This record gives sequence, structure tokens and C-alpha cells, in this order.
Amino acid sequence: MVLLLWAGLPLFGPADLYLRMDPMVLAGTLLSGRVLDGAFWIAFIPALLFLAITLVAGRFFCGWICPLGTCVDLADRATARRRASPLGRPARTGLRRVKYHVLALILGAALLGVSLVFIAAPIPLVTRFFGLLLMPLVQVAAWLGLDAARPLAASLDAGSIYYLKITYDRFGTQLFLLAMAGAVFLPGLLAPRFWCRYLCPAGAIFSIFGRKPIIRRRVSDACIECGLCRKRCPMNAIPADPHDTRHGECISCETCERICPVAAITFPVSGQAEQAGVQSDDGPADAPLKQRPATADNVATTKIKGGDSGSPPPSRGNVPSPPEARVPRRTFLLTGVVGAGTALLAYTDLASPLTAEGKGDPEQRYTLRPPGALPEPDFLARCVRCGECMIGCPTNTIQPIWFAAGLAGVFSPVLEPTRGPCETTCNACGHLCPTGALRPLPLAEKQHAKLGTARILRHKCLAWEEQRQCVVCDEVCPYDAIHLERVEGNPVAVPFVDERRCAGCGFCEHNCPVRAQRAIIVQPAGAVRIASGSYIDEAAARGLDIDLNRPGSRHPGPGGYEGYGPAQGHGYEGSASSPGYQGGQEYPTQPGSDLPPGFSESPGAQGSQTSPPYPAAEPAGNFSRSTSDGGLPPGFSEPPTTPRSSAPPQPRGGRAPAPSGSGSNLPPGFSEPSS
Amino acid sequence: MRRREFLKWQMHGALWLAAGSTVAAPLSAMAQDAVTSADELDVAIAKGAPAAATRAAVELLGGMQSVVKPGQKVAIKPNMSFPQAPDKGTTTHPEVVSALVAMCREAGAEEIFVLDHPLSRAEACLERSEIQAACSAIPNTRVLGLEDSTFYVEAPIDQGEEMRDNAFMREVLEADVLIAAPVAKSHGSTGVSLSMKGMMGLIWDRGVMHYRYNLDQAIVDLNTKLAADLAVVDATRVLSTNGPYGPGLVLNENTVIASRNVVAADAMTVSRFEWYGRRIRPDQVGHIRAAHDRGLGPMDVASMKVREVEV
Repeated sequence: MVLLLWAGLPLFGPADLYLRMDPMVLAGTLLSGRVLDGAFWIAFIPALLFLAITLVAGRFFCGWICPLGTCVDLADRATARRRASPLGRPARTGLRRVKYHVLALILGAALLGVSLVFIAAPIPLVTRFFGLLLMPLVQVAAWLGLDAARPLAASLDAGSIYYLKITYDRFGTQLFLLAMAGAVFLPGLLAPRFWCRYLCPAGAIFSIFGRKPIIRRRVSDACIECGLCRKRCPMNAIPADPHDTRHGECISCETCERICPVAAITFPVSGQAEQAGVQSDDGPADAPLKQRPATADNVATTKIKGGDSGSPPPSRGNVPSPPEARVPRRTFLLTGVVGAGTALLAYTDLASPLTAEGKGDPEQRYTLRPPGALPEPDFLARCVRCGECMIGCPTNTIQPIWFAAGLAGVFSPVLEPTRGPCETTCNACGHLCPTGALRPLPLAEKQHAKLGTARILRHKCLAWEEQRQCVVCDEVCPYDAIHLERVEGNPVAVPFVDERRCAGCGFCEHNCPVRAQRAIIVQPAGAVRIASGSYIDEAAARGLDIDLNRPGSRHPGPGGYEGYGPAQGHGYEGSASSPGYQGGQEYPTQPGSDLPPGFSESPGAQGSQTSPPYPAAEPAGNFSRSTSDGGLPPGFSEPPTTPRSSAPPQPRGGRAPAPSGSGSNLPPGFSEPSS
Repeated sequence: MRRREFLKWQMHGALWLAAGSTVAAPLSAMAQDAVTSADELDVAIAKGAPAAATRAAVELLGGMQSVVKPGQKVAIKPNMSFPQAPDKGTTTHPEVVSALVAMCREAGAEEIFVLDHPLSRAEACLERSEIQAACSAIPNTRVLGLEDSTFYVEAPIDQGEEMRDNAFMREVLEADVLIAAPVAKSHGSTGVSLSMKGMMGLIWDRGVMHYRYNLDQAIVDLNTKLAADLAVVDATRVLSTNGPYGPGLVLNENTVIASRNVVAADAMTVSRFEWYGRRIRPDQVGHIRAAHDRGLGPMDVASMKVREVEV
């Protein structure tokens, strides 16, 4: 139970420890991600350890460790009374093969570099189930409870309760998660541990490794063949003859040992000695395609039993029907091919981000990945969609997607800046990722990992389009990547994004007051996605200027006011900008001012009186005053009493008043001849 | 450690002052006289270390006891909206805030709230601005960055011309005294962000002020509802350029400007320092001009009664 809680709410140790125990995650990622580095093997020592344990102790993991198994058990208990058990009959051995097919499907797809691990690997499944489905429910219940308790807390003057802060996460794809949970738990109505018996691909791997464990179920001669163990075995691992065991199915739950009325069943650690007749075997199967009837043990048991039992023994000459589900070689291959076909399908998906080949790149809106994400195809090949990054994200900006990034991107994490920004002081996601799809970056590295680039949709921007005072984007940008300029005909300063400084954190998009779609959005363009090496160096190599701790200047530099706006102006050296970027280059600024970058003469102030030196004020500090006094910095404006000698601000867009004078009564589109 | 010692020192001072005030009770007539003369003062300016200058400026106005009466609830609105260290000039100096809180305690305030609706994650803002730590030693004081809408209650703005309602922090609506304690800084869309602009940190829906209303007018509307009883502008560091987030030119002015009127305090702050390397008149700031036009306070600094001390 503790382990169960740990899966959703890691209390100690690496949070992804469970995920690293899952052999399906190991095998699938190994194959699809073509991972060969040592760090990966070290990360997956737990899985290798449990595979080794399985050689000795059978599917110990399934019975004792797997949190999904525990959940299935709990669900089974809840549904036990209603169970019809049509599939619980011992005869149903064919269904057991299904899990090998699931395994083959995943491995087949993995061969072509597409990770389908997420569809059935048990630990990612249960992590998603807990973290993305149950946790938010608990959180929101706590939040609602607290909200309801607040009046009481206020009346009791219990400020610490009143001001307690509980936030709850929200995630997309809830319905799909629910459906998947249903698919895992509801078949419990048909048979106990349905998932583990028939579907779980990790179970299949363990099953292959656990064909002939050293510690295994032994039945002594005291057996009265009452058949109770066979009936109660949750895994249907006991064949018609209760002396036998399908070891590949047995999860060592020891239910049979507990319920046996004559205590004939044991799971001895060193039981070999008494089993004189055990034939030496050439070890357990180690490859999925290697068919292992694993009847030796059965034969051995039969031998012993045959000697002194009064019951009619199975004839010695004919080996009884093998209790293990055969690994069906031919059909297994066939499913592998189907898996590969699924992978091909994923490649040809319209939204597939796997390749950038051909005409028309996929819509990249949904590949705004968390910091430290590997290059997209590698990322998707490694990501097992466990949801750890989403669970660990403090701002809840990491969200699962469904088909938005195609078949290969199901449940993969993207940033959703409208939900929250990528906190600059946080690097949790990379450290939670079990497979290295997100690199575990130190904080300084993470702060330089450019996620994308903010782009202003000028037609929606309050300042650009509606000439309103709004530069919330500038107000919240932690990287100082947005600067303001006055442009001709607009009384308010307008924002520009400096793509060299923009790290794509999404604070601007998150806080933009424009709704339906924000007027500034972070797009994946320009994201730095490197599989190895330093993001700081890479940013420097690409001519980026990402700096969270840009010093505020204390003195104006020789060229004016350093620290305000981009020091080099906004016409960046061409090499630094990728094509498609949108800077301020093309926009005409106010003419002829020697004001610091970002400043220009205010249209309303041209020709007006210059600001008189203020009597009560003294010059504070030694500044070199700007020689041009006419233009005002952004946000300031002349009082309306000031006579405006120059042209009034020209309203932009559709807000222009009808021109007066000749031609004004003509319908739109017509004009008087100029002569 | 130094700050903690300083706070202790302040608390000792508070106790002595409290003792002194009980002794001085019979001389209330005289004190009353002093208050009256201080009331005539429009703006008090003190230069010096943050805490000392804050105290001096408020004392010039007649002391905190002229603003806060014993048993009252006080809401203080500093700027703690940015997860940055005090030296960046984007948040109110923690010692200015703690000095104000201490003075309110000395004046007998029952409960003091230091409130903001931060733009970044509240925990980070409260921690990095060092305001939470500075106030943690003072009893009956809560430093809160309220990010949950349940803490805000809808209320009308009776004198609002554009913005006629919004949701306000419950603590602010219930407070007897409201003190504005902004840091002096520039702002890209409103020129400067001082006492009046800072009131946007006490409401829930700020976006509406940008996309629906004229921002300058909406700020004035807001200040008709949230009329601060005292404005203490922290100009110990002035973020002269690239506000409000910076990084920009930080002027070390070591000044605290206090007034019973927010418009006067803001106008004086604008006129006293350089913005973007030049002089700006208060009437060149839209919301100050609008507040003046609507009779919220004076912006003509030349006609203000000003006293200035150096500590």
C-alpha cells in the first residue's frame, strides 16, 4: 500500500524509481530510442535487477511490487461479488497469449523508432492514472473542502487555515485516461487480475524470464487434490493437475499456500534438494521468440507424484498439455509486423513530428516541449508518457496531448503557456524523466534552454491594434526580451520581441489580457533542442542573448542608457536570426531622435513647448541629458492643454475617422481625381 | 542576521515609544497641535537609510498615530510583484515595509496585512523580495500574495467613470487604514508605477483595465475606491528606465517620499527624479493628470508644502 501511494506521490528516493523497474519501459525505450549510453543502463538498474530476480523467484514483481497489480487487486476485490468469471476457467489458456502479442506489437513499432510503450507498459499507465487522474481529484476535493471551511476558519480566527494555499492541477485528456483506466480495471469483472494475466506486456517479459525459477511453488504429497488452489489462483497458474504450476504465470502471491487445507503447498527457497527428480535444464528462456514449452518441471513433478499417488497419474510417456502459454512464434512475428505497420502509420500521420521530410512541416504548435527535451524524433522515441514531468510541474503548464501531435505523440508533454508559465527557477521536469527524453539539466543550463519564441499577433495586440496602454507582456518578461518603441501614428508605445533574448518561458502569453487567443504566443520556432552538450554554449554559438540575471545598469553607458532596450538596436546581425522570425526590423520608427533605443519623439509633442526645468526638483545624479527634448519616453504624454501644432496621432486600422473635406461623401473605394 | 538584529532594535524602539506615548498622554493637546500642523504639510521627504528615512518621513507628517488608531486593521500595499532581489529596484525595499509595519504596531494597529497580487508565483515573489522575511518577526502581521480568486470579493466602484466594479481583496475592503508603499519605478505603459498604479495589486481582474477601459482613467477609478490614507514611496532605489520588470537603470536616491495624498506623493516622486535620463513633469503622466483633473489631489509640486529632512 505504501508502495502504491509512492507511485503517485513520491515521498523519497528518485521519483521515477518505479518507472525504472518496468522492463517494458526498458525494452521499448531501448529499441525505439536506440539508446546505448551507460547512463541509461545505470538508470534502469532496477529493471535489470528485477529481471534477475525473476530468474530466481519468478514473477515476484507482479505479485509483490507492481503498483498496477495492487490496483487491479483492489479493483477485483471491489467487483468480486459481481464477477461472472467466464474467463476464469482453467481451460482458457489462449487468452494468455495476448500479452505476448501486446509485447510484440510494441517491440515491432519500437524497431522502427516509434514508442508505443505508453499503450500498455504498466508503470507509466499507473503513474498517469494516479498523477493525472486521481491526484487532481484529491487536490480539488481538498481545495473545495478548504474553501468550504474558510468561513469557519475566519470565525475561529484561524488565519493559518484561512490563508492556507491549495492549488489543484488540471490536465487535458482526462476522458482518455479514464477510458484507459476502465480498460485495465473493468475486465476484473470477467476474471481476477485480467490485466496481469492476459494483457500486460511487462508481465509477458517477466513470464519469459520466469519460466523456471529456483524459488517456486512446490506441492508435497500431502495434496488431497481438492482443487481449491486451482480455483483461487488469481493468475490461473495452476492447471488441471494441482501438482503442476505454470511458472510463467505464477506471481508468487502465495495465495495457494495460505488457503491449502492440508498445507501441502510451499514456496521454499531451497527446495531443489528434495526434488531429486528435477532434470537439469538449460536455463530459462531469454528471448521472446524462443519457444520454451517448459515442461521439464512438470515432468519432474509428475514423476514424483506418479510413483506413490493413488490417483490416476497422467501417462508418463505422453507429456501433458504444456501448462505454460506457448509463446506463439508465427503469430508473434505477425503482431510484430502489425506493430511496425503502426509505426509506419505514425510516420505518415499528417501531424507527425517524427520527420520534417517532404512538403509542409507539421503544425508545430503542439511541439512546444518542456525544457531539455531531446530533438523531436529522439524525444518521442524515448518518452514513455508516464506523466511524471506533468505531475511535477509547479505551474501545471506541462500538459498531455492526445492526437494533436499525431499518433506518435499521444500523451506526450507540451507546454501550455495559457495555463502557466515555465517557471524560471524550476528544473523539476528533466529530473523526473525516467528515460532521459527530457534531460536533467542544472538550473543555469535550463535557464538557457530556449523553448521557443514569443510572437506578437499585432492584429490582436491592444497596443498595436487598439492603441491602448497595455504592455503586460513587457511587464512580466523575466528575460527582458520585450522592448517598447513608439511607432508612427500610435500614441502608445508598442512591444517588440527580441528573439535573441526570448527563452520562450511563456510569461507573456500567460499574462496577456487578450482572450480567445492571446495576442502574444510562444511558438516552438527557434527552440534549442540538443541531445548533448551545454545549452549555455549552444545559445552562445547561435548568437542568442538569453540572460536571466541581466544586470541593471547604475550609470548610463557612453552610448546612452545601457540596460534599456537592446543595446545594439533591434536590427540584429542577420546570422543570429532564423528565417521566419519576427522582430522589429521592418517597422519604421520615429525619425531622427538620438534618444536611447526604444525611444522616439512623441507625435503629440512635436513642436510643442519643451519641458521646463522643474523648480522643486534637483538633478539627481550626473546624466548626460538627451539633447532632443521633444520626445517623451513610453507611457508619458503631454496634457491635452498643450497646443498640438503637428498632426494628431493617426488612428490605425479600422478606427480611422471618415476623412473630412472633398471626397468624404464618396462610397468606400472611390476617390476624387487628384488634379 | 543583520536584518534580524535591526528588527529587534526596532522592536525595542517601539516599546520605548509606546511607553513614551503613555507618559505623554496628558500632553495630548500639544500632540494634537503638532498633528494639525503636520496635516498642512503636503509632502514629506526624507533622505537616508531605508528604515530610518521611512520613519523620518512619516514622523514629519505627524507620525503613524495620526493615521492609525489603536485597534484598527491596516492594509499595506508594497510592490512585491516580482521575484527579484531588492537591489533590482522592482520591489519595495523590505526595510521600508518592515518599518511601516513596526510603526503601525507602535500606533496600536490590531492586525496588519501586507498584501499584493503578484505577477509571478507568490512564494517566489515574497521570498525574493525579502519582504516576507523582513516582516516575519513582527506579531499580528501577515504578508500575503493572494493568487486565489476566493480571497477577492466583488464590489462596486461608486465614483468610477469607466471601471464601475471589480473584485477586491477582502482584507482591503475590511481594513480601516490603507497605506500605499510602492517602489519608485518607471513603467512602459503608464510612465511610472507609483502609489496609484500600485493599487492594481489589490484587485482580481487587472486585465480588464487594459483591454476594456482607458488604463489611466481606470487607475483613477480604482483610486477613488481604494483611497490610501497614507502613501510612502520608496525611492531609496529608483528604477529609472525599463520598468516595471527591469533590468534598468537603478538610481540610488536614498529617499522616501510620504504624503497623506497619493496624487501629491506620486507627483512629487515623478518630478524629483530623472526618468530615462530626463525630467518629466507630473502632468506628463496620464493617470496623475487624470487624478488631478478629477480632484483626487494636487499635482503642482511648486505649490505644495514640502518639508525635507536628512537622517
